[in-house]
Amino acid sequence: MKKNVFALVWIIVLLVALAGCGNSNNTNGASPTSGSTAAPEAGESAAPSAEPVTIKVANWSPAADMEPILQAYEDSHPGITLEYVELADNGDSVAGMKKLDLLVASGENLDVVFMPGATDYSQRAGLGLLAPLNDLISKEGITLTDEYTVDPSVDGKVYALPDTLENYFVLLNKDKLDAAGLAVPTEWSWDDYLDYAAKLTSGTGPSKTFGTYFHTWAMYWELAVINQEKDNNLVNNGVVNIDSAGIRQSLELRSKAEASGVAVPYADTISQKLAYRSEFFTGHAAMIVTGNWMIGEAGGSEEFPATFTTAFAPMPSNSAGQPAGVSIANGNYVGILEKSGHQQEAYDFIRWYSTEGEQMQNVYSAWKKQDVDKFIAGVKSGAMSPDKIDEASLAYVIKNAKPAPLSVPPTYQGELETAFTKETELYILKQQDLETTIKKAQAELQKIVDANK
Amino acid sequence: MKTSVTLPQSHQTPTAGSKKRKRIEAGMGYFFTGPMLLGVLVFTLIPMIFSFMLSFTKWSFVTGFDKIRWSGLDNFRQLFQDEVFLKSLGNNFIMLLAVPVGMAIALILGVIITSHVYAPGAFKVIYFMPQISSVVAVAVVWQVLFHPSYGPVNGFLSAIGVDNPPKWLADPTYALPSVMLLMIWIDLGVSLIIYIAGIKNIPADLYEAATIDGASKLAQFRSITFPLLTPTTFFLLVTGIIGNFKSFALVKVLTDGGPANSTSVVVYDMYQTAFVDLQTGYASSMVMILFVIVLAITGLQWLGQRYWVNY
Amino acid sequence: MRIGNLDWGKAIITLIMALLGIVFLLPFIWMLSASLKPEADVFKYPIEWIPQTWRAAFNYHSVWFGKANFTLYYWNSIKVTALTTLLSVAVSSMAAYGFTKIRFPGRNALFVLVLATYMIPAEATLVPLFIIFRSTGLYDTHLGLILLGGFSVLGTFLLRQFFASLSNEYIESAQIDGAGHIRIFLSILFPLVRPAIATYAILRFIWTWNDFQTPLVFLNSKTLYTLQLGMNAFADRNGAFYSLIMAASVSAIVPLLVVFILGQKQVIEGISLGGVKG
Repeated sequence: MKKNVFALVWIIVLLVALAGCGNSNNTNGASPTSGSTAAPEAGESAAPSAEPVTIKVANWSPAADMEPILQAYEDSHPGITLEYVELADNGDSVAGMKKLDLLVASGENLDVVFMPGATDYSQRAGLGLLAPLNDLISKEGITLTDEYTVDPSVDGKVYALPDTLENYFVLLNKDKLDAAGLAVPTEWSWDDYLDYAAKLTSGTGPSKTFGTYFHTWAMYWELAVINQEKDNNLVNNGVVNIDSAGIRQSLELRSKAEASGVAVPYADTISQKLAYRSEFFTGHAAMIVTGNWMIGEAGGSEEFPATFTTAFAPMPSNSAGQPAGVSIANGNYVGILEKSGHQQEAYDFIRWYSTEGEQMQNVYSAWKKQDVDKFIAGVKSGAMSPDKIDEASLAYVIKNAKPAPLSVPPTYQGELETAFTKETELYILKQQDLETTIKKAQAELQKIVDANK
Repeated sequence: MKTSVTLPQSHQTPTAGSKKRKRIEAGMGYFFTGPMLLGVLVFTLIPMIFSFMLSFTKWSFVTGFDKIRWSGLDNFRQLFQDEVFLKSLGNNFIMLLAVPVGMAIALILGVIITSHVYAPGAFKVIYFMPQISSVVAVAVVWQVLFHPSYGPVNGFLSAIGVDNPPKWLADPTYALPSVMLLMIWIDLGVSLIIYIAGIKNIPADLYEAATIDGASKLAQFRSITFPLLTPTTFFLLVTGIIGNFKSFALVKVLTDGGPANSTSVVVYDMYQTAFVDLQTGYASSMVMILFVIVLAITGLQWLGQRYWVNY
Repeated sequence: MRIGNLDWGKAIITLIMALLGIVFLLPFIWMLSASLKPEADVFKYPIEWIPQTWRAAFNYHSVWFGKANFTLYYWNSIKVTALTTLLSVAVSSMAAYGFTKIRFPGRNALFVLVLATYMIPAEATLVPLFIIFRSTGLYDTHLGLILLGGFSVLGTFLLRQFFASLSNEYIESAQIDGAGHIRIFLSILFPLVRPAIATYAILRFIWTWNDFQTPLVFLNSKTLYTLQLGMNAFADRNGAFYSLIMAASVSAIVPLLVVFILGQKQVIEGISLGGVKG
């Protein structure tokens, strides 16, 4: 019997090897035009717009979330078929981007692609992957900054439209605030923030409550920079911004919080891979700086049921007297691939999607005409425990938010952030002092800027 | 079964070497090795050559072939000034230490388990568990044991009077040794069962004869077990070093190369460069350096095997 | 040292080994424990090894009968893993035999070439492989995964070491009896290296079963998902649901334990059989 099994396996091996071999000759044929066997129908030639057009839309969101919106567009625009390409099955945008890049590399004919943030967007714009939209925009006759809170220009050219809006504010555990006799702040500075953090810190050992928690993202090393109207990035217009008052204040803020024990120790954060959601929702940290994707979750999720009331406070300012609530505006972007054969149709779709379309999803939108009250009502109706969202402070924060025009990061933003974080880690872990950190980071970032000139 | 040491085949007289027979023999050789060679060609060799060519270009894989730009040796020149890359490469060399240490532990445990414990089967399963368990679970348990503030390891160290116990994974000095320790712990099971398979291959009568001759257990280990396991040891050493140079997943899950690149390794750096920074050409040149180094080390081991490996 | 049937030295070593073994069991115990409790308790510190609040039924029910088609993923994993292992054992043992027991021109050069390909990290060939897969239609098929795992070089090298340690007398005497290479391989040498083959098969099975990266990159259709990929459904944009992932992981470990224990038995039986013959 063993022999028969073996013979069978051998036959399979041979067949398979032949199949693999015969086809491998096409390896070089994966040029953009050859496309794929899987999608023979898409975009072979630029079809005249009278004929039915299929637009392929790629996003990392689950198909169940996207399809109703796409369906609505198809219904109101006869002749257009939207084909959805789901890049990740669990909404993971990082995995989604990797899939997108591989698909594009292997010649898949996509038309519309979404990108989860300015870094991913500017990187792909810089690589020449996205079609410039300036002509289509002027043809439509709109001014982008009238329509959207975010200006998506990279070096004067627009390669995508802003989709969702992401700006930053502070989430507070209102139960702990009440217990400490503190009011929900409306105008405050980072000094006040540290003061609040100290008053909210209590207990010792594993069950200690910390005043605040800073996640590992680069933005938490530049808190006193991302709350500025201008020059709010690591590199602005080609000038490295590290040797500046803003970055010094940001790093000192972190260092003070760490030294006084009011923030979760950075060593714990990285060695335990702490997650900001669990730090906040389990009550381990009483305040976090975060963005508006967390609004809905304040009402509780299956994973983290709301056990306390969450209040909202604007982004602190750098010193008393300056306005609070200023924060860079980031978000998702939606663009058109340069190789797409249906630029006009795709543009019409992304214009619709980034305005009316996404209202169906009740996301916080970069579209200026979004109805904020409706959005808040929508969030509450979707929450598991709507009464755990402190509506007054939420409305205040949203209505008084001052989204700063984001200077879209340079195409090598990711490299900048990695290099910067490396130095700040050494600082917070007490391996080097502030001035050394500033000096080294400034030099390293300058090197990256020079290499990318 | 006999596992005796045989002479290399070239010393044997070929049996009636007519040309036709040689041709048939060669044909059989290709027949037996053919499937493997084909698979390797399609799934590794062709992609490898592709990667090799890309290392001389500036290119991002997302942009399509029309945007490939030839850059000669620029990537390699850049590599030798790239601090992160040099640091990662250095870390790779330090990490190599985990290979012989892990193998020595596996060999000792292998001998103990095969003949000096009750219920050897259970022990094989137990020591293999980290290999089967989910990587996430392995990482979490490790993180908790070595928790810088409340972990039992640091609790113990404080109790015996160590003032400032290391912060392990969060400490630029101790992070790499921590990763190595974890690496040994996870991969121990694999070397262990391969060693056990090797030990089982040693004929029992050799030990019986030695016992009759009055050889101690230690002498038996030195003169029977260890020499007869040298092919296994050679295999584990070669693949262990190659595998060590290729390690990526653990670093990604455990530390993401941090803190401050103290645990970054070449493949991790390459992965970030290729899939996060989208610089395919530059990433390929890293692979090439890695490949040349591993090839050289493996080549040396190959040449050296005749001095200590008994087939 | 010996009292009755108990060898005290052996018993003490067993005890020490068992204590040491606990460290190796911890990840599994953590998995089990996490799979039995509510999500919010998973990362509580210090670890609640025995859950205070039990949610085992809910967790396992959500895994097996929830939104993800876990049964299908399980079946896909079994199929892909079993075929990969079979293919890999067949290809590797044949190649190992060819590289050690048959003399043909270019033998050593070819082996060096094969070994050299092992030195390239999988992450480095992802992009060209993806392009090859897309253009040959292997993308998004189980066949593609099986081939990728099946032509792994490691097995060839491992088995080559074991074949090399077998005496050539077996072959010579069989050849005198008029047996060809195929017969010698199948009926004489194959059984002799059974411990090594069983060991490799176990490893290949476990590695394929736990592989996440390959299916992630080379599969697209949910109906083809393997377990490791399917478990991803318990992580969403709000983060991972570790209680569910661990319930799935514990469920996923069962076949591995079965294969490991049965495979190890093979190693022992293989040896006693070989012993009789030798």
